[in-house]
Amino acid sequence: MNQATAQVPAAASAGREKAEKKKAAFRKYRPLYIVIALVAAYFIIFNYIPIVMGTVMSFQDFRIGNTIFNAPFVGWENYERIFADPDMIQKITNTLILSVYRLLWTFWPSILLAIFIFDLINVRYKKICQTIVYIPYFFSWVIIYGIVFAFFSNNGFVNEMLANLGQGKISFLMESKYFRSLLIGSQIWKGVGWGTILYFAALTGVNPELYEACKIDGAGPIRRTMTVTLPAMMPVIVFSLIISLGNILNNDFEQVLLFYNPSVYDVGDIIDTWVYRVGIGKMQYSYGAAVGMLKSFIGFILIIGSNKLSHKFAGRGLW
Amino acid sequence: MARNPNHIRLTGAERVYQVVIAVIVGIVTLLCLFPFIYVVGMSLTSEGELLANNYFVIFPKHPILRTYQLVFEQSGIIHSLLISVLRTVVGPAASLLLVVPAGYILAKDDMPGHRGLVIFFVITMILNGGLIPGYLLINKLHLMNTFWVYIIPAMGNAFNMMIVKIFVEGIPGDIMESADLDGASELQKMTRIAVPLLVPTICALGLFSAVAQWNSWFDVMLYVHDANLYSMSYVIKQLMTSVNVSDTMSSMVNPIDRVTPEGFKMASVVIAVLPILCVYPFLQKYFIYGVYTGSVKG
Repeated sequence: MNQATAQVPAAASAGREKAEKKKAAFRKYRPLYIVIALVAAYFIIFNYIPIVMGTVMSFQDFRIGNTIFNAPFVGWENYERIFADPDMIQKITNTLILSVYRLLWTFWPSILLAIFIFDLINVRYKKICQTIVYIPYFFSWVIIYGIVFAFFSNNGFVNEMLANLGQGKISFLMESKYFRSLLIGSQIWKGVGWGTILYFAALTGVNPELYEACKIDGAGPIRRTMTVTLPAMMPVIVFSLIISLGNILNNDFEQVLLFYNPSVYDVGDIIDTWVYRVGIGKMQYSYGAAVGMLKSFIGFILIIGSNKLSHKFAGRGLW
Repeated sequence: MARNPNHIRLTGAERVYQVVIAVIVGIVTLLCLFPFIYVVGMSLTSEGELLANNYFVIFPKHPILRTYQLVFEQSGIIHSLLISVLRTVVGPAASLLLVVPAGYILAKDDMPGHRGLVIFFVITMILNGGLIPGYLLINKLHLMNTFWVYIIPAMGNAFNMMIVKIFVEGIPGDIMESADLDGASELQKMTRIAVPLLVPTICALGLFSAVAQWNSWFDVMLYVHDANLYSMSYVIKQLMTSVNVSDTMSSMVNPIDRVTPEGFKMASVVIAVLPILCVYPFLQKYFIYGVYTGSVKG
């Protein structure tokens, strides 16, 4: 009895102390709260409001001049339309195919190049090559389209070479069967050098004694790569593969928008370009928003999932 | 490199390997370099020389500069260059003004509500409303056809905020504590202590945002219809994708001086690339630092 009465005031004072402490922290950080409130307001306007707008609109029949408060609701109609529309299914398929190709063709060239550059003994040569292979990363897709045009248009480098060899010309830019290769090829060209940096970061952390041990064991370059270099790169490889898996719905929209033309829509038109061309261009706001939200939602789940996977297999994630 | 001593005496296999990788890396380097050389060559080649060489010229013997003159005579290209420079300077500055303080604040894990704030910002990294709501919002905010449409929507970047946060967390605790003893306020600690320590990170983030601004053309196409606000990337995009660019004076000009439509397009590509190539060698280390920070700590 005596004990119990003694405990109550003690607990109360501990609670009071905690509240007091919290109050002190609030006071101490007041200027920071004001700053972060402004930043949060920005993010509400530019990130959260569009999410809410997109969600609400996708259940409405939103016309120009409407707001999300007065547009009529139509239920799941827009979403049902997506799955009933063979054209839309094709855009989704195109998006996925392009992403899978990109994943398969862009991840390993950087890994190989990183190993080769890392193993080069001549430091000067190494530095010069590194500097040059990084540069294409900084070119915009407009510039890269220009370069692709210079090489693959009807009067471009490749066709003139074919013509001089007595071969017929091929209109690479206008034929569906070359479109994906052109996209992926130019992505490799743009990113292969820059992609190596990620792996160098991992390789600089390797204990030099491991290479010393390789030498003593008489391990050649191939065994060294297999037993030391690749294992050192593995966590980064796994991490970036899993993260690109999460981004599988996101193609380089700006690239496709520049490269495609009506004659390659059957393979080149992806979700994003369709939303731009039809959703905005033809003012099909609600249907376009539904397509956008569906993509965003699936992407959200994929990224959350891949982040979980990444924590499990690579020991780290995006957050 | 630290590994050099291991290689002083090369074994047979190692020597073969070195030659093979040197050749492969050399080929990749040439593949990165050659397209650009070819584009420059094409921009300097006249119609006459193309005809004389069966349309296959890599290094023109009689280079012409009229292509560049013609590109610069295009209405608005000089003005668009000014717009591009302006957005490349203002954009990163505005973005850093938002990102650095926010990242600093998110690093304060003893702030009540800290976890909720972090989640609030991380969500914006993985969920977005898509193109259409964004377009309608910009319209509602009356940002269409203003210079600010290039700056304001690109300011907030939760990913960059997280990078700043990670770096602030890396600042040794006793530096901050000694500032506390000197009676520094939270804002002073940010501006006087954290920001100077974060200079390389801030440079790297600023540079990436500058490149994005310089290269950006889609926001111009979507939001701006006033030709006075066109950025150079967009003007060049228009030149690239327009079908009938031709030498306006063609009938009066000798073929050896006449510009081809392809040459004209390539000259505009060169003009867009040149500024990047000029500053890149000096800034390379900051860019690489940027990737390292994003990868090692991220």
